[in-house]
Amino acid sequence: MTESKPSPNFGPAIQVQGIRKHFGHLEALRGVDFELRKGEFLSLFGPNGAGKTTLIGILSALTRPSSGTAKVAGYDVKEADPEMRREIGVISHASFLYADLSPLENIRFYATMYGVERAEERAIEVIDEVGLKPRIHDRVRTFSRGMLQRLSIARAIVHNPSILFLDEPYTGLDQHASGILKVQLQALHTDQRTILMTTHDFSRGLEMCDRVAILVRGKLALWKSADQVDPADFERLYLETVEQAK
Amino acid sequence: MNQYLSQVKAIIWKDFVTELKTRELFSSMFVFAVLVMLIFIFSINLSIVSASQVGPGVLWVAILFAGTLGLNRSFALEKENGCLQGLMLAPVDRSAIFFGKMLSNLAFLLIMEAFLLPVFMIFFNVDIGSHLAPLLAVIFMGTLGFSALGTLLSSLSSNLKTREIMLPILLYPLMVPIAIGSVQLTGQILDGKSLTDMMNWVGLILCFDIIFISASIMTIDHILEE
Amino acid sequence: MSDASQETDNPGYGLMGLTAAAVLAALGAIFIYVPTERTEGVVQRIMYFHVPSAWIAFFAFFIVFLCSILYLWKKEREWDIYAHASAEIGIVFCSLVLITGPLWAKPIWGVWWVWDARLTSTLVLWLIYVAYLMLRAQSEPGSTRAKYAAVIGIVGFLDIPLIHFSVLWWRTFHPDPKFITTQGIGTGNETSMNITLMVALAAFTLLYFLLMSLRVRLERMKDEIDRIRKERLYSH
Repeated sequence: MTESKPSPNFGPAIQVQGIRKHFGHLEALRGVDFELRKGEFLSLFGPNGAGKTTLIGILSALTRPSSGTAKVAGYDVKEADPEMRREIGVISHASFLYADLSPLENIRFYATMYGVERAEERAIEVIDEVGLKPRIHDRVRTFSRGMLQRLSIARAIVHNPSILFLDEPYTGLDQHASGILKVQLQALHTDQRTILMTTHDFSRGLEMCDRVAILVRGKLALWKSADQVDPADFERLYLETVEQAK
Repeated sequence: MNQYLSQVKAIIWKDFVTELKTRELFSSMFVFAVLVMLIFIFSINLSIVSASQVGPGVLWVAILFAGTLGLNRSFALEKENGCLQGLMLAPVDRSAIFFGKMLSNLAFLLIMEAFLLPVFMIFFNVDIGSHLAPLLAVIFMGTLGFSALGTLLSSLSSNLKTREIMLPILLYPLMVPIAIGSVQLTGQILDGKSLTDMMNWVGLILCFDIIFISASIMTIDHILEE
Repeated sequence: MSDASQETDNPGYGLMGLTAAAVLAALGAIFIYVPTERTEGVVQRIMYFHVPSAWIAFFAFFIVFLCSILYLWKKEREWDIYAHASAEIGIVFCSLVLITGPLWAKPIWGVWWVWDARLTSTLVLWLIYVAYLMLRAQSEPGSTRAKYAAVIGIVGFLDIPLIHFSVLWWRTFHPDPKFITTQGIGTGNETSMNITLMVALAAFTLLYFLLMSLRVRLERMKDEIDRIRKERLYSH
């Protein structure tokens, strides 16, 4: 399903080399390197201000890196190729949805922006996938936080991207809503999509990832395979890593 | 190209659907424009000054002020829930975003002006029926320039803490050529002169339109990227 | 610009000395050398401040325009500093034009302000670049501020010819006011007026470059202090 649009090369889905980003004199990222193969799920932890959102901004070609190279789906992010954007879906704590439009209008709008064929049908399809079909004509303004987050999953996958970036998707969700989100993420993961998720929630972050990373002050302080990490002991590991890196 | 046009259309369509649902923008712009005209009428002694002399100025001040309200709202809409960021993630040329927003701003303003003109006609007791075509042409040209520069600057000011204040402060001095030109042209047309006698003004406003649409296309990338 | 880009360890004494000499020469020429104009009297000497100020203001805004384009192209902080410094200096001289204009007008025409094309354009220009500086003051330092400012720097300068013509034609539709023309230049019966004006122009231009080099140096120092402070903050 994800291979429907072949990338220029079949290398890693995400390849990051020496990425740095400074805002004025503030260095948000100070040399980040990693690789993520296709279909891998990376959970990225780190204290506030570590540069997680900046990293996602760079990988989704919203922010230009100050130096270093990053390739996503084989495309250099500096080029911001439209084909690369078609491979990427982003879910953030902001929903990117127009509050006065209905789910259908919102998703159809984004489908059009991504050049999806049969935008209307595809929109209905993904709204159904996230279980919001009954409210397809309601105003998004009336939605709860959990429903918004589900709708923003629909928005992020309407163009069927092979790579997903999730920036603290669990923020502000109640147990029920975050349970639903988890199920949906699992479905996306088994679809062989490459996923990079940042979160502060250890158990949510660890429950389905393949790789674990901790970003502290703009540098990767830990990079491990998920089976090398003991979820029960992760809190201690996290605090130690953050403390050491500081 | 087809993709580009459908993206521009989608942005305009989205703004229109939002407006049809909320009906916030049009009503506030129109009421504000009427209020501006009214305040000017109170401040001018119409028994001393002839209405057709001050009328065009008052009309354009009302349009520019009400237009600023619309511009302020236009990008505020995109900022709510981070929509602009969502838009930037899509494979859409930044100039398509600019054109979409500019054309929807232009359309809203033109609709508002269509309602404002009869009010203007009644308040100032001027006959616009006989010179309707040149008048509409002038209003279109002036509004186009205003929308172009206004969209560029509101995309910029929407990121500032003091956006509502900074937009007019940045915009109005730059709008001086349009303000003077449109008022002059409108006045002459109401006096029954032909547009061909004032080609220098027409040229000036068209130059303004072209220069600032081009400048916007060339700089919008830098404003929208983070 | 070469003067402005001098190294920080070299405060540019050469330029400072040259400017001081030129300013002294200009003052000498204005107050001692050039004879008092017959019709306008002593107040006419204000022209030798008014005209060079206008020239420098315009020149400074042109530099803002150039540096803004270069900034958007190269994304180097240097160009942002130049644009900022030049805009500040431009505003100072633009203000001088707006002050000396009425001072000159009052004794000659009996009014402080005439809506003459040149003076009105200058006022609009002043407003544009005040807005430019306000925009800078109100946004956080960084590349976003630099980009926004650069866009205004470009758009503002592109607007100047349009403003000029619109204000010029606007006036011709009204009864002819007494125009401030540069009546001193060329039409003056003495070449001494020309020489004095040239000396004043040279002195003001040197002054611009001196101020630029000082202002740029100051901004670089600020950057340096900022950097050191951040470094210290991180190392603790």
